[in-house]
Amino acid sequence: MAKTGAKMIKTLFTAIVIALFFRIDSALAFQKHDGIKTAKNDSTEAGFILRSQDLFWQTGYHPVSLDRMSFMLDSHIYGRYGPSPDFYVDGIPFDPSIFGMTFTQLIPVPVHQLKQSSRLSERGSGVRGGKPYDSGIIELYSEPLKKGISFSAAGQIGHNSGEPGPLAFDPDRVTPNVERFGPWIDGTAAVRLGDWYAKGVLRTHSYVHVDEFLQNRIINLRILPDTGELLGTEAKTTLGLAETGFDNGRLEIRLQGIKSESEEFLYFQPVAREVPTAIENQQISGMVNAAFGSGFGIRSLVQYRDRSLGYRLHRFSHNFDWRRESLMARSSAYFNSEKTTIELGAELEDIRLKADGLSGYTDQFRKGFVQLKQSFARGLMIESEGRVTEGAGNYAYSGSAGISLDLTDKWNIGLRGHYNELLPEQARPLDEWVRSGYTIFDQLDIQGLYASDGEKSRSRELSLNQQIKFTDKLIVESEIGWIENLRLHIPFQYAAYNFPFSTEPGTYLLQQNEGGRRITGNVKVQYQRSPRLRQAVALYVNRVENGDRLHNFYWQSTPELSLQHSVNYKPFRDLGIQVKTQYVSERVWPEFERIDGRSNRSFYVQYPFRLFTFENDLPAHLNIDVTVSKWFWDQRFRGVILLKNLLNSDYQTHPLGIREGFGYLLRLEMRL
Amino acid sequence: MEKILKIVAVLMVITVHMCPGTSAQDAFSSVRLSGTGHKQISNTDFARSWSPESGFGLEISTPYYKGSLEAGARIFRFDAFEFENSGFWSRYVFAGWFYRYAASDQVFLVPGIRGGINFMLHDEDKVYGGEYNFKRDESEFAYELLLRLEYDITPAWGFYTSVSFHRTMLNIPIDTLYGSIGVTARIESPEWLKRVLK
Repeated sequence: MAKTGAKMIKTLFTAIVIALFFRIDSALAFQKHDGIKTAKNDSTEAGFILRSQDLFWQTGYHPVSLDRMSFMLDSHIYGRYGPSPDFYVDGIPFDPSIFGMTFTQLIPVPVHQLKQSSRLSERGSGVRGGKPYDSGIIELYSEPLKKGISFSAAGQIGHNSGEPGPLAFDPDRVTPNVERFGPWIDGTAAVRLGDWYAKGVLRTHSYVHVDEFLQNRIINLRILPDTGELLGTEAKTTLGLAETGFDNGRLEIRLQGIKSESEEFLYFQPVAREVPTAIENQQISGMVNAAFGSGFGIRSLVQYRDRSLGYRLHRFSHNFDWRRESLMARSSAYFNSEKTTIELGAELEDIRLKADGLSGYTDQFRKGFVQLKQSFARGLMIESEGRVTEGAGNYAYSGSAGISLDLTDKWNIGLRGHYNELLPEQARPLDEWVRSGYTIFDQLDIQGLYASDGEKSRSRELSLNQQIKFTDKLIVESEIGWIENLRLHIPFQYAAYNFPFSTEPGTYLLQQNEGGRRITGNVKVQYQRSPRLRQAVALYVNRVENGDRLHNFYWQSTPELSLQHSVNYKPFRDLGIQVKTQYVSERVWPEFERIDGRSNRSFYVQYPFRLFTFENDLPAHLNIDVTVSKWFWDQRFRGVILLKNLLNSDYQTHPLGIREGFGYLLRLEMRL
Repeated sequence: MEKILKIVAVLMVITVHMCPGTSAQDAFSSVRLSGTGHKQISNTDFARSWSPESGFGLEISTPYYKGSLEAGARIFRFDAFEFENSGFWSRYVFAGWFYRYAASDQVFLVPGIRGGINFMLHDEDKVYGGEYNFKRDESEFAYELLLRLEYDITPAWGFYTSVSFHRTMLNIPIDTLYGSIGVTARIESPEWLKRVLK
């Protein structure tokens, strides 16, 4: 039945796509519509962000999620157990990542106001616009504020298909309930008077872990054994932001405060499953950018963060009991002339950590960075950047240099080499804390060899790229790189099987000196047939050439091949259609091979006939999502529906994570 | 049923291909309101356990730049044959798009597609083992493909008859074929409504 349904949907989908593609010109010929008012957010240029994973679309990141809200991100150099990428919204950094998991609900801007572009994200390392980064950067931008007073709100809810319906009454065909996702409710209020503005954001997100693949584990974690009381399995986050600023084009001053509280299930890699956790974040930022003359300016930022992980009542006494305060100051000066761009900056970060077993723990990092672009002749340019970080008397040196050459007016090629070092306190902070006395591994009954050797992580890379601009509407880019991890710290364990909790931690090992070489590459094609129709396709390759055993294991969870194709079509002024197609090749998670083939089942006794099987290899997958949006009342309101996974085949990104089939997601937006 | 679906899908393709000039129509210029009656006409596995009563509904549509947009709701009662207290009300709330081929000045052949939520409310909870129960209310995405024959008696009044294939995407999907009749009234859109819809 499911196959027939998939066939039907496929037929209909194919027919519609064929129709759209072959009759676009005639469809457009008669249209006489006004320009798009909220051009940046609603044009085909901007990717439509509806779900968390949309943030990473065609960026090269392969997000892995157990719950669709928190992600492990592969930062290219250090893999998905390495440091998370740096996030920025409107130029101000924030950190939605805790112990390796990135919680997208902690992004301090409502999703309906976010703009994402693959060009705003980078993997790897470098310096961009006064922002040094060691393990990737993701920059997000929000909609520009309207003059005067403005409000916006959005509500969103999602649902996986496959509920039992009336068939729950048939004991032979009873099936589990499946996940409801949300609601998410976001609101903003803003005032802009001349060059001054102020704004506030309030977000609340919640969802219930009732996906059949997580249910057993999550519910068992939330049962109190003494009383048999079943605590709620909801995860929820409330976030508030207040910001004011001034920007006259030459001087930009911004002050921002963010506070959030969450009750979550934090996937903790060393324990190989989630730990119910209370998360609190506070952040205060001040930013001043000033431009003097046409080519000289300074950028400066001061930021205080206070983050903590506390106890959320559950079956065990597992408690991170962790609080990290940090103060960061960064400043840089830049100079632009016709042929030369140079930026020189420095950063200081002071960290204080309080946790069980740690007292008076501090880290202090001093960083200097430089970025240089120099044109020598028409079409010939060298680009280079360098970063040096000092911490506890140790130094890490990183940098890259490259040459870019215009072979013709339309064809550019480039060659670039990278060398990267990362201090252990930045590459594997958790292991450094444990080495210094943090008792979390003892608390969670994790056995193993977790003492860090205190050595730096090192890597080097050579990459070739090219860009061919056949026309303004057709651009082809490609890149191939050889990356070698000279010394990579990989946390690893063979997770053991445990029926009520899916897994129990195996012997944890921080492998200190893993090395190996990979070939990575991508090809991107952008084709804009008209202002109303844009297509983009991106192919990513990640192939291990050789290396140590654990190094080779580690990269098997990153797909060797992935292909992402998107079509953004606006047939009419008030209607938008987006089709996203993704192919991901098989992925293997060797650390879960001891649970491969073991049984998992739904928790409730209603479903006696449903048993599931854990697998540590995730099969190749083809996924098609369609989004349709309609504006109302001169773009004041918008309704959006996403139909995801039209082929209705199970899609998993993590062996313990949810399996997504067909489902829908609805969003209503208001802008006044 | 799959054949019907494919036929409708092909008609959808033809619709998008073969309608030159027609989409120069004045979007949102009028509103058509239809009162509808429905009867299930298929005999599926599902129909062996639940017997539908006749249903009724309300549809509202307006011309779009191409074709027409519609929204509506349909209420259906399913009585239990086999399982005690498993009777339920189905309330399908949908939005859709259709295209009117003019066979003559008064007769139109209309293929269309709808997507929406089927809200189901059972008479009682289903309880297993004396303590584990499913809730009375359940909802799921459902889509529908339709073919309609419309007859405009006057520019303001008309009626139609249609057949539609409906699928609610439950774990075991419910496929149903409905036959429907409807009476339609057409009015010019007030300016405020045009502004809201644009």
